[in-house]
Amino acid sequence: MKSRLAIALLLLAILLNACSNGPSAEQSSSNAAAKPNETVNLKFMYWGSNEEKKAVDGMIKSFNDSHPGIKVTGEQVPGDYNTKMNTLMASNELPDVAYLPDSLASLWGEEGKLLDFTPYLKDNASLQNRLPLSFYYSAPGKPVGNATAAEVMVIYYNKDLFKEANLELPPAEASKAWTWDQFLEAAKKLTKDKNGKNATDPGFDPQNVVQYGFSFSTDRSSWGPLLASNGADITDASGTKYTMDSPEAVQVFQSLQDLIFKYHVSPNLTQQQNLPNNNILLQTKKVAMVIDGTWSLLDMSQTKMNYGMGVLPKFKEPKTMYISGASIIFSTTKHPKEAMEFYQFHNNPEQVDLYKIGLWMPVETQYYTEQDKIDSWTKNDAHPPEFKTAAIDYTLNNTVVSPSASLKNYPAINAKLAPALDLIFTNKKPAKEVLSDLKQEIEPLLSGKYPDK
Amino acid sequence: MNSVLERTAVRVRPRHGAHRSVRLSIWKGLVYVILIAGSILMLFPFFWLLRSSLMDNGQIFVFPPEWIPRPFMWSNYPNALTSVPFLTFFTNTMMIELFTMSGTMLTSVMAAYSFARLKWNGRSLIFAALLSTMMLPYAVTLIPTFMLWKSLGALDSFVPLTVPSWFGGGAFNIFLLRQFFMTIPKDLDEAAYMDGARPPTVLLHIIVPLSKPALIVVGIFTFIGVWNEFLGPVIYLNSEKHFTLSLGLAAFQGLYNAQWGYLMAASATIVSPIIGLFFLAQRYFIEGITLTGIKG
Amino acid sequence: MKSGPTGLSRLERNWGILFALPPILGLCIFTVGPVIASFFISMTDWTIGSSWTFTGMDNYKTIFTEDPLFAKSLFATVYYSIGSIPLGLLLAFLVAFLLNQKVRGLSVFRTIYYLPAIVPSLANTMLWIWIFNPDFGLLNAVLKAAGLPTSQWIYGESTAIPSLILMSTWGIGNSVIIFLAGLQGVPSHLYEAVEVDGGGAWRKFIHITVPSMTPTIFFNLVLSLIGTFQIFNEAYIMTQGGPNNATLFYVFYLYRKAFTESKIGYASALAWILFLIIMVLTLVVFKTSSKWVYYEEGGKS
Repeated sequence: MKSRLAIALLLLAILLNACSNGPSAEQSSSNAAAKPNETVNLKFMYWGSNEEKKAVDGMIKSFNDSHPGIKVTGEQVPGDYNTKMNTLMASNELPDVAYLPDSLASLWGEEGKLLDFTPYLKDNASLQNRLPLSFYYSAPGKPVGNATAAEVMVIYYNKDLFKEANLELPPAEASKAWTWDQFLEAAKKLTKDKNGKNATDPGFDPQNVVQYGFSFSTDRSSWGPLLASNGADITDASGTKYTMDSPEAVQVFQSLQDLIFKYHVSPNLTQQQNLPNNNILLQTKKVAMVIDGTWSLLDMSQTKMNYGMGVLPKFKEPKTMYISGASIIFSTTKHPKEAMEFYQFHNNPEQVDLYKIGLWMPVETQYYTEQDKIDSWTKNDAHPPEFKTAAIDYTLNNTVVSPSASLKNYPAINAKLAPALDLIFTNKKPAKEVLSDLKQEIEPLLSGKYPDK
Repeated sequence: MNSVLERTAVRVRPRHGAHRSVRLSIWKGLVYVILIAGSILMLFPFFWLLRSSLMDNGQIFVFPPEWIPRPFMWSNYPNALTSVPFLTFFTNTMMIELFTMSGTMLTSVMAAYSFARLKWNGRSLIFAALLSTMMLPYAVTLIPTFMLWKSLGALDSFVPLTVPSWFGGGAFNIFLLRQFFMTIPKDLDEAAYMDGARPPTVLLHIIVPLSKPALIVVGIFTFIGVWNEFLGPVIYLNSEKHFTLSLGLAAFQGLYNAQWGYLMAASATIVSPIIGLFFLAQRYFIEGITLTGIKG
Repeated sequence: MKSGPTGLSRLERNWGILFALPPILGLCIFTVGPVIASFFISMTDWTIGSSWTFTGMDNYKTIFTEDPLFAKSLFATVYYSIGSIPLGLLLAFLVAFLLNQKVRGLSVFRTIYYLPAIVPSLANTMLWIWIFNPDFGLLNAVLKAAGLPTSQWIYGESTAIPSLILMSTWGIGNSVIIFLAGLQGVPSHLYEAVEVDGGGAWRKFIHITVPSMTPTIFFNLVLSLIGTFQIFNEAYIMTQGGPNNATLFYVFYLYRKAFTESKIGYASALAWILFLIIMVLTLVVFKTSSKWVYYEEGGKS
């Protein structure tokens, strides 16, 4: 009875499939030359807005046109990428090539679910010459993927506000990075109350601030690079010992808390975690400086404001953080060679339009070191002149990897970390107390770091 | 509230007949005041959606918020609707609506009638099992269910999104209709049985005509549910040619950047037919009363 | 209960089973398998992407003994439910009652009151995010203008859940419609009987409207119970469980376990505990329902 029903269902499924595959014009006849039985079909799954989709579609089309015998189908996943990927992994229904969030790439890399690049390295120059930091490893010396694009954290600011306040612009070279005190001083002068007084004036009214000096978000992208700059980290180098209670780490978080509650130069940021609007904050002069990723250049350049780009302030060393999703090949692929071919094509700056518009930065080293290569993606309106030092050199020389990619069990750790840090950012407790209380919460979850070479 | 009304009415001291009508008009006035005040609140999200749909990315997030777009970005609409294959998404959504609506309406009415009126062994047990399906968070059955459809070869098709509705149309609808069917006087069925009618006849000629409002509610909910469903399509549909409107909407939001103006314009476009449909459907609530004569 | 003619009970049984066949089959095909599977998964240490081993009741033990977030998320969920269920039912009932009066422009009013239930949740949430914004938001602007104290709303640990309860009153559209359909079904001869006895509007409302509506009230109560215990979207889109886990709702917590941390075994155990909690509560509501719900059939649900 039941089996008969299953068969009936199956028939229905086939029927519906046939219906839904009816007269939809999607068969590109570009590789009609290849006989269908020789064609290798690959699936590529990715996330991104429609704007990104257009660029990716263009890249796929040019790949298919230039590679008769391989047909790549792109599948954009709108919405909940993590849920979809986990479902596909659990039921073994994986695509060949895909984007992955960094923590999943590290986790599944270690589990052997991602294709090992080792056999392909020596024949593929483009793989060898990638930024060392962009690699994901399943074991020491076994790369299994790269960051899709290189993205680091920088400062964006509204030039007009600096002119008004008669201040020097934030430095765009790591060697000239502001110390925290210099930065704080500038932020104070750029913070204004409704009477036009700035935060250094006597009689400044912190209850009615109309323009803040600096705005940051409460996640790893803000405090991560500052921790690194002060020689601190969530854990020790082995990833097994909690070190956020060190004086250096406490100093960073206390400084951030003070920005909001002691000096009143930053808005209370829990309020803005929902709004992807740094470019708007700058444009409308609500804020003078923000910390954001290089990907925001796209949004910044689309506003009609006079913006600039700088390096982050430093505690000891000038540091920024590398934050990016990964691109990988699943080890379940039936066509590793062709997948590898496409893999190198899919984020090649010559094929994808997302570099020139300011959303992505390449992962191949030559695009950071060879002038003509640099020009090929930065010589346009979207990239300001200081981009060379504030983003390109900065990425090459001053970068640490995000803990979400390097630390095992990071999602679980972050589930404990974020609520506790909320206590700091809402002024419930001083940083020192929160960070020492965190030790017992985080320590049991620590299980080392993923290999980074 | 009513005592206030009475006191006011007493102060007016009209003759008995007028007394009633004054009270009535005061009551009416009060109803209007409350309804209009509430309406303003309820219209808020919709106004906001419209104003955002006519702004550029920048103006949407300006603080404090602005109500009037400057300039009016009428271009958001054509741009949003042409940047994704909306017609395909619309056709797909309508296909799913068609299969789901018909399956739900047919099987949930039959099942609800059985649970409300017909006695058989194990009825309560099955009903309890049905209800309990609503209590287990879908997040954990998501993966096993996905594997089931995979083994049936139904991935990247409308089958997982539509076929289940032909198997009872969901516990929610069965439960809702059962509650309504149970309020219909039992004597009506019994009279029909005396005349030699059988259950299907009773269902078609007594229960269904008397439950029009409830059936319309089920229809509306099912339609809107399919229209806005998101997680199912994300999980089961891969190729763009199968995408639904709700997926098309989500695609305006990327990881790093979002086209908010387009998103809002597309949302407004997708919402408007639903509003029109609801506006038309709710009239039948009123027609439902015409049969109350039988209920007496 | 009167039993009908002798053939009737057999007729009822046969047709009854036939009519209930679709959901019965649906249960067997689409539900039983995945449910059993999820129960089995809850007894493993499965992390998606790695191999699993059978661990029996270990997950459950861990949840009850070593997971502070379990209690925290359960508390947040219960708090939200207790706050929003009575408020939502009461408001929905009143609005439905008003929308059932004979006033002009009723179609327009009904449509307006249903709007928030139609507008996609993303647009709705975006709106509420700036309504709640403590610095520039609408609510505080209004309060300031009126000289009242302002609040941190969803960004304050103690005010986050009350804010979401306030927001939930926007989503009463569905309950309103169900109540409306119920109000349409109140037999008019009962009202006439009260009028003959000289009873006024209030007596009608208390003695006729409310009792006749009990099956619908019961339905909405059960549904709100099941629904609010599974509140997810608000945390997922608006608060991410913050500040300091104040809005870490249960389903959001287990969803994060399953799809951010990939720990599907543990998440399944969490889900089954919630399932049992909702089940018990629903049973209690069903058991007490015979005391206050009036059916034409004679009060057995």
